[in-house]
Amino acid sequence: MKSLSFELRLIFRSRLVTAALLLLLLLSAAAVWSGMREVARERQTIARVGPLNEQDVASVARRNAESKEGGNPAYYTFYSTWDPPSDAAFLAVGLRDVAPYVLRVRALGLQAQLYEGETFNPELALSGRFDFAFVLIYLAPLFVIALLHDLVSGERQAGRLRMLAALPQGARMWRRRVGLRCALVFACMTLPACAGAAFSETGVLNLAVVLLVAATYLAFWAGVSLLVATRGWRSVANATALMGAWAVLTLVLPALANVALIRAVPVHQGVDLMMAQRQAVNGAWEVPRDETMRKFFAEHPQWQDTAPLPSTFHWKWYFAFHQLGDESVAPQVQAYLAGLQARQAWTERLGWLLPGVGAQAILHRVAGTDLPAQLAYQDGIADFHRRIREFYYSYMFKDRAFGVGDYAKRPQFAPHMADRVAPPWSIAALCLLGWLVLLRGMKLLARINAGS
Amino acid sequence: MLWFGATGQAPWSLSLLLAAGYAAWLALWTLVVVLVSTLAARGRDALLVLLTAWAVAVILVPRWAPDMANSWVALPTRFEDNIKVQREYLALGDSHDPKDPKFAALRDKLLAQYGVTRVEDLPVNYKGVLAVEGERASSALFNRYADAAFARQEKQNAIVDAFGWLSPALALRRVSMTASGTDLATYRRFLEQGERYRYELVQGLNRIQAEALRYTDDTNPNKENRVSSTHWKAFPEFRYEPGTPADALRRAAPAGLVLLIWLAAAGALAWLLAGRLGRTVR
Repeated sequence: MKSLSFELRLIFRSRLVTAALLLLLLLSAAAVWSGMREVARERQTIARVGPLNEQDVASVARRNAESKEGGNPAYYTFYSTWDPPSDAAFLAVGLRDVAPYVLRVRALGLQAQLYEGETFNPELALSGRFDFAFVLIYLAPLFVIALLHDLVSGERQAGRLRMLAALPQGARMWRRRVGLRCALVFACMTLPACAGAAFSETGVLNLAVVLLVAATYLAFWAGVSLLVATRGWRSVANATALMGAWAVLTLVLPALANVALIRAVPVHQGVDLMMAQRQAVNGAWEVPRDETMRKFFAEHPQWQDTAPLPSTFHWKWYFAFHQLGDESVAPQVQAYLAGLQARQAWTERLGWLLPGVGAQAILHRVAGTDLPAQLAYQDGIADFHRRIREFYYSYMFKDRAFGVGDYAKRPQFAPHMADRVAPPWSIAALCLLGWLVLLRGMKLLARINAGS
Repeated sequence: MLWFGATGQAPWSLSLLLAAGYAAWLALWTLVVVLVSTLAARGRDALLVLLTAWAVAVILVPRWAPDMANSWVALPTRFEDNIKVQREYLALGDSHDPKDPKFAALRDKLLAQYGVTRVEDLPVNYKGVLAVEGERASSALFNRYADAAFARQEKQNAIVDAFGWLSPALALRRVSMTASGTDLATYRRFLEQGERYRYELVQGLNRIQAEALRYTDDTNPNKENRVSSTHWKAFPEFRYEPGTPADALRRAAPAGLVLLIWLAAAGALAWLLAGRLGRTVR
């Protein structure tokens, strides 16, 4: 205990180290604060748009008060859907700054509505958000490097190495030094996150995964730093080599892998599905109406007991061809989803090799801000849309009058939280890599004493 | 970049701007490296200071500045804008309904202009005229919202640009994106030309409705109205008109100035220090 407090004093005597640790604490705190503000903003937006949409529905009801046809409210009534931020969303903004977390849909073709993007400034989205995940993945390694790169060379250059190496419990001293420095970086990195988690009532298990990821990722960089620091080079050479490793592992390789992935698994944009569906829907005006209805009843026999189409326009024909339009692009939708999932799977595998990618993927998973979370929201919208359709079809196809009172019977959206359990394989791979590298580094460090 | 200019794939002025921007960036770092090495007591300290400066200027600030811009100038969600636009759109009146009272003034003006009392007697199809007016009003409404959204985004970008005084990497990025035509202004230009093209197309169709169809035919639900396909064959193809190089140069100028001031400041400091160093050596 005494030697530990001695080491601690030694660390804080260096003004550079103290300043670095304070800076990390500040950055992490700023990132957590910024993430929490973003989450609060999202919650406010969600709370604001619900009543706004209800006003819109009330005005639809007023405008269509005389008509008893179900088709008018079906066409004009929008429904609000939302994807509330999770209890850990403040840690990693992920896709939520470009993908919508509030979307309104109506009973018309879903595929023309589902991929509507959010308004965002493309220049601002360019570099990604400043959040806890960014500070951990990109900045924290720099602090580990700064604190450990001259662990051995600093002592050699100060002329103390021989003496330290001759100490009877030298190996333990090195372990203590490394452990203490890493613990300080870990504490500066995660204390703000823990405070944020307490405020956001983050689940204990989620917080535990975040802390494990942070510890493992820092362990990896501590290990890499030791691998270099024990080589007997000078401090400057160590720092240069480690910065190079950092740039390659966190910036260059992920960027190259991303480009390769985009080329290897081409995915059409959702807007292409939108266009294809619109083409099908616009073409439907030229198709004989009976043919459209026959096709529709073949797919949806539950609605076939309905009066034949009148010679004038009828809404049920209109909605039938909208739904057929959706179904005509179903294979493209499947291909689109399969492509996105393939990319996701490859990103996960990449994470087994690149700890930065792996740690980021796990954090985004736990935060519920990654692609699977976005797709789960879309699934939730699709389920809800099915209920909206059935609700109106029960008026249109059964020729039931839609009165003002029927607006209250509308289906209500209920967001369902996406499954946010990180794949155990990813966590295991990250842990294996991170702690093995640290173990190796510690072994090499212990050899300084044994070898001399 | 010289190759781009020489092969005519990009205007010379913009290729030069791009080359000058990156040359200034490299020169700036050279000066900063020299400066820090002069000031630092040990090579190791110089390295650490430089690496920190790089991490702050190139990695941290370019992420942090957009966050600030986003929280200072928030963009409305599409959800809310759509509802507001829809409300104002309904207030404009239904231009598909010749009896909508919101368009009574237009009808009276037309009747007076041609000296008739009924819309059926007008020499033009009143429904078509109404469609032209409706499209004009609704497009003005949509453009107003689009302009407001872009104005907000430009304000956000101005905030990020101001951070160029803190991180020259942002100034370089502005110069680079402007010279390459990948900035918000170019994107907006494309969208607005697309919208103008769509507007002309729709108004062309509306004018055909006004001039080639008769009101009594157009309002008869039992009559199928068709016009010859020669009309739409005469519509022009969409052609994007890129901005002039002078325009891009003007847009890049403030960021270029920031980069130059950074360079000048670093140069002046290096000059001063070199003088002092020279005296100490002597």
